[in-house]
Amino acid sequence: MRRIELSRKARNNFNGWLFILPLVVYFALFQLAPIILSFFYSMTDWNGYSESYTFLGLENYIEVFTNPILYPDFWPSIGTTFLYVLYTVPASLVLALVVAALLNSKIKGERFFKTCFYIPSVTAGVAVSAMWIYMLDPSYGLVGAINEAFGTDINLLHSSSTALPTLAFMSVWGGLGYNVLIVLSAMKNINPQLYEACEVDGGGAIRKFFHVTVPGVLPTLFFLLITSTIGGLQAFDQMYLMTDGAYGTTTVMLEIYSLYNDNSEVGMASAMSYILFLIIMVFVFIQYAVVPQSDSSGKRKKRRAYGDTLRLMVELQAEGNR
Amino acid sequence: MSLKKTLPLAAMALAMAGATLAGCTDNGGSGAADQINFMVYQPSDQDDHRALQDLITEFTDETGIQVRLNAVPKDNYDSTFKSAISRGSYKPDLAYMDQPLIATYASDGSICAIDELLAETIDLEAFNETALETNRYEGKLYGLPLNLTASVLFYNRALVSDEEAPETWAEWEAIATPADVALFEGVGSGGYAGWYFQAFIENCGGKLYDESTGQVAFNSDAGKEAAQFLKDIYRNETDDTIRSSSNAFINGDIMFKIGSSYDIDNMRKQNPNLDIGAILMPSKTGEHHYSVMGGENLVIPSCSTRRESAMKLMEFLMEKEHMELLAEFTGNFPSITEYQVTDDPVKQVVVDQFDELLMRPIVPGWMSVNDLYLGQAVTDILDHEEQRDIDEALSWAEEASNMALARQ
Repeated sequence: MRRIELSRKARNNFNGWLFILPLVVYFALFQLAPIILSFFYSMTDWNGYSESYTFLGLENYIEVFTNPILYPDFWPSIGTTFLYVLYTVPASLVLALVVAALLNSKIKGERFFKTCFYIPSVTAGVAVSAMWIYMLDPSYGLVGAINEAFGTDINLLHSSSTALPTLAFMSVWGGLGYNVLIVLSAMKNINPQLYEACEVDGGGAIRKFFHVTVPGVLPTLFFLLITSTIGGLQAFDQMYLMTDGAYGTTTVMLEIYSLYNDNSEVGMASAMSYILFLIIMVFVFIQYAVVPQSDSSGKRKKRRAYGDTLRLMVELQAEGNR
Repeated sequence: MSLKKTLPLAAMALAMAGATLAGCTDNGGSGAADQINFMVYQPSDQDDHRALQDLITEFTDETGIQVRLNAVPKDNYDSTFKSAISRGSYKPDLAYMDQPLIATYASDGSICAIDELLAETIDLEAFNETALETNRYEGKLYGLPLNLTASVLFYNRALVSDEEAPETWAEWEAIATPADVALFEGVGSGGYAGWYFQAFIENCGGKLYDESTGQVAFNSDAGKEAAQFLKDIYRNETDDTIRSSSNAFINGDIMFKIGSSYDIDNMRKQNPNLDIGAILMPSKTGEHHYSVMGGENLVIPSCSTRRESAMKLMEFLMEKEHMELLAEFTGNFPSITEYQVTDDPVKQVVVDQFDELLMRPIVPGWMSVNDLYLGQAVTDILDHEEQRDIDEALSWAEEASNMALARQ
């Protein structure tokens, strides 16, 4: 029998492909295929289970823009989602930076505090929501006790002016531990000589923070900015569990879910998800282009912005389809 | 790396890829030739699940037909059902179905008419008439009612005496509320609000849907009066705060609550000291006491290839003791009138309410009208912050509903 001889490069390629084959299959089936399929569904009136459907072309897309009678909540839900991002992202980043800086200043009990901050991140979302629902109950929880003691009428989850900020606060609290750990590990990697140099130049704690620490963790902060923004734009669980979208908390994911799951409008829900996809793509691209990163070279930065935005968007859309 | 070492790796990688793909295969039917798939609501506890399993074993022993149970939590049931009938690995041969969904699934051919499959042993006249009617679409019967319940008005007897319990809206509205107590728990929001609104509009002489025109009819004088009455008994924002608290009625902070038979044991379990009274739904004049109905039907999906075996299981489940057992799981009553017996005076009010039941319009897509438009309009009208005008909200809901129904 003739022995097959492969070149070293070919063997390496072959082995490489073999190792990533399960992941490629998974990606193709559960991420790429749903992205393509949902784009097709967005041009139909498919209800999610019938064998038949009508091809509508761009009708669903046009309808999202022109029929506020049937779909009155889509655009307000986009507004709600961006407002939620506005509440959560800056607060998350600033708090993470401050807390990480405090923990990095060699305080006693660093491990204890790290654990405390991280506990909400590893607790199931449903359990966290149940705890908050109890705490915020206007009659029986912590808020109930305040109402009783001071004769107030605080009802945070049942008011349009406070429900969304309350959910945003919960989200910041829940994600703080993760963000702090990431920023803290970036701070630990900053060269100590930079701090010494700053000291030699007469810099105090504040100057060291703004001139050494912040630039040192800028790439990490940018990473958190992007992931927090994407997380915020995908906000769903808390609204679904705690307010069911009432009192101005219908985010766009909740709106799409409701249209898909409760009303079998798979075509329209898919069209809305693609419109959201485009909106987010523009939004994230602007972030890439505007927000300072470690690499500030003009052309390269722009090219990276296109590439990274696209890559992130594919991941985001795959997540949404799931 | 030599080919000798590469081959086992290749085999492993292919096996993993194969395993990934294996999860996506569709065996297209019920598996074994003598097996049917039965899709049910997940019983609330292990004991009920075992009892259901025993019931199925009894059926298998009696008929030789194997049954594969697919118990799905009620909240996810409809979406799981849709997936199962379109591309599931175990397509159901018999399935539970919420009453108002029959028209939607019958109109697109997802469930099959059972008139010709129906055995002579089934006496259709024995069923509660309204519950049976929920299974009819365009003159054909698409299922049988398994159980039902009705909404009644519960009251806390520590706050409301039996003599005070109202028969008319005027009597209800005139009841004075003590400080820190709300009059009425409310009709909920979204889909629930749309569902309960039917009882209020029909108790005021109106209706939700006009069959002769094929258009919704809730934006009428009766609809506006019903909405205004609801707004009046919602009273003020202090009531709102009490209402939004967890288990406010159970904890004794609310005088009246709309609920069904399945709420009774639950309320007693959570607060054994709660003394519950119940009355038929009050109406504007006290002449009628209409209320909304809940419950499950049994249907045979069109994808079933073993319809006769499924029909045998359906008939088996319609026997007295089997029907009673299944009704017990959900806290409902059997749908056959003769079996609706209770010695509990509160539950007896629910049984009495069965004489004046309302079913939702048998129109494809009604659930969208109920949840997205009517329910939303009622929610907005009753929201003290939103303060949406009744005329404006009902007009929008009417326009959107008619537009949505025209597409069906």
